[in-house]
Amino acid sequence: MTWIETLLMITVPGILFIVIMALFIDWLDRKVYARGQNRKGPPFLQPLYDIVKLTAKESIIPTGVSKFWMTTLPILFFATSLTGALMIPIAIFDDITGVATGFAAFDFDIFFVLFIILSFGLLIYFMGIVTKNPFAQTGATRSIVQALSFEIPLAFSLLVPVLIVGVGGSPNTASTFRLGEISANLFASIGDNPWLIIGLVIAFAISIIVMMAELEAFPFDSPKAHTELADGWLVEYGGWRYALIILGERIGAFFIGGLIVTLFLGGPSVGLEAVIVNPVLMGFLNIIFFTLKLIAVIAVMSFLRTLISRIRIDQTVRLAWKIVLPIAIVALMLTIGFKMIGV
Amino acid sequence: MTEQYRSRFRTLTDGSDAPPGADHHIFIGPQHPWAEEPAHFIIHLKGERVVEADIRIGFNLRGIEKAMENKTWRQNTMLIPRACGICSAVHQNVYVRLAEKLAGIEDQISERAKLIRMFSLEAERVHSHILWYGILAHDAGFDTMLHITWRDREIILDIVEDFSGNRVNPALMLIGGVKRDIPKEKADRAQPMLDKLIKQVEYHKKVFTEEASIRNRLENVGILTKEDAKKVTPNGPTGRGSGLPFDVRKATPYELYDKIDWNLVYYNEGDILATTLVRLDETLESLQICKQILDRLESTQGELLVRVKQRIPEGSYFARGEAPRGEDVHYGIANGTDTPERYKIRAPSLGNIDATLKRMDGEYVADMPVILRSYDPCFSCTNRVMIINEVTGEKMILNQDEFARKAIKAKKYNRPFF
Repeated sequence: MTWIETLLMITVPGILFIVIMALFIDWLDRKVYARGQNRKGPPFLQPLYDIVKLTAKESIIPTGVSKFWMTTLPILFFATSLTGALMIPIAIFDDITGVATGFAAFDFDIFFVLFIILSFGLLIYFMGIVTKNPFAQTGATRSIVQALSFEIPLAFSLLVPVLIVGVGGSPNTASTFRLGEISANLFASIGDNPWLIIGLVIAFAISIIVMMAELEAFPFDSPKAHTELADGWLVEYGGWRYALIILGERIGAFFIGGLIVTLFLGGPSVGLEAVIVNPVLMGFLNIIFFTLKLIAVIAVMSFLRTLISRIRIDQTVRLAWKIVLPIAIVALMLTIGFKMIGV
Repeated sequence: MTEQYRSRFRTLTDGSDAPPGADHHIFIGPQHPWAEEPAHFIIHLKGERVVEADIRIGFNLRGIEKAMENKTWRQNTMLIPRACGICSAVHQNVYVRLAEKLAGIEDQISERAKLIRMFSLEAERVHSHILWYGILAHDAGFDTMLHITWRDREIILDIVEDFSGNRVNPALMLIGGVKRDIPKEKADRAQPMLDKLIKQVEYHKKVFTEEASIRNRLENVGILTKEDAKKVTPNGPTGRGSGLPFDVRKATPYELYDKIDWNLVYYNEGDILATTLVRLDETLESLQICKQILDRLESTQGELLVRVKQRIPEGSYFARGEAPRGEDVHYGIANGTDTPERYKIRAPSLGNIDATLKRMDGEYVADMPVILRSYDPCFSCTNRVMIINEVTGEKMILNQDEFARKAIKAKKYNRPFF
């Protein structure tokens, strides 16, 4: 890694950019949610104030609970979500292929992304279970049940854009299953065969629901249901540990929103690749377009949260297996069918 | 209930006297995001299902009954609304009717004064019910509904503030009548606001009955059948949701409830949705009662306040009224001086606890907040008597001074209270 790459990784579009965007997403989410509920909403810097205030507070370890795990797991959670966020292609970084890629990009990285999403569920389960609190244990159990229920619809819905782009990315090259490649070639593939958009739209809707469940966002927040479990698996964490978990969750929201943008909305692609040749200007435009698309996705997810009430865990599992999974399979079959007819 | 009677009012809180079959226990309260007020629920669980639930109350004794014995009847008129945060007017109403009966002036109260009292009572029912189903939506995880309902609740609070000067504690009643008149211009200002609120409450009802996600959380949850309801004797909307058509306003009409046109609302399903619909329909009924009262006030004249002597003659009387939560019962003993000899309040929440614990058997733990909310718990009203029954079995009866002295000492020397 050259020094310029290291600098980019730390600043824009690297860790600093991701953390600032995570705080911004937090504010945007709360603001849209508040406006949907006829409230005023927090001031712009409120998420930053929250994090700063939490770091100044005492972080209590309950009697009989392992300090090691209560320290390691939040750090691991934060690191996992940051790793995931660094995989999202934001701007041109790879000179060889000429497409926007994340900092950590390698062949078949879409499977690695799936693994990171699953490890969110696992880490949340362990974070809840080590605290030996009935609320936390109930919440952790619900969390893993929910994560496992939505795993298969998630994989199926992410498979749709991969299939649309084609096994080889473009017909001439070999298969790579890279996120950057999928986002760069998505619109071109749709242009070749416009019928494919049906499967893509269905998979997009499915993926928004699944991602809300993975984030434990409002209608699917029974693992940490405020009024019944007192924030569930989070209940024993305080101070800087809580701040780290909250920040990790927000970076997870950035990661998951960015994944939807990458796979379904063409990622940072501007559509002007043929006109603009200057890579610096292109990278700048890429960052702006990516941010705008991400804002749109997060705003839609936040607005959906205001519409319905919390879904009980048994209802969530029923929803995942009986409604979401069949629709995901239909989208997958439609895509395969149109692909076979079209090619 | 099981074959062998097992008291649901507990003192041990570590789950050591749990029913057989439970594998773990969740404690809700006294400090929990669900509870605005302190109560301790011990939920015995097997997996995600509830085996049984117990309750422990007694965190919030404020000594209002004792304080009333040291104040005059007139002063108590302003103390008694403080028995409850939300239903202040109904406590005051029952109290002044009790005192008027003891003083022998209950026939001299003018019709206009009675109408103004009734307006205060019905406006209180409206804002209490709207507050309740807003919090119910919050407990079910529907925060949007909470904010919408509480926004609309401001309309009735504005009317009450216009009429009385206060938002939730109008304190309009005095022994012998009412304190303030409702002039015509204020009544005219209130009429369009009431119309607007009726439209909003109809919208709330539409949301609760047609929104699938909230309906799924309420329908067929915590069913209390009519047979069970007869055994555990719920009162108020809890009973009316289970098919017990009892309302003090219809059963023993007080004020002018027999001269006003209104319907008794009750549902037979017995689940939480039925309880919610009872309250939603009652809100609409109360709003149309409010409109009728304002119409009748224009043509009704009369003395607002009857002169009453400071000393209430010897005797005792039992008065009751329909609070938003159920039947509110007061019993007062007068000894011929200007202070009561003894005064006893039984607020409706206490009578509904057994019914609510009965509802929980076999339900999901995720439905606990909704079921616990279903009877509109109000623990500051519930705690009237303090029975000290420690693990040792020792019993103590303390008066107010001793209690305060012990509390100060315990605080000062940092030692246990007992």
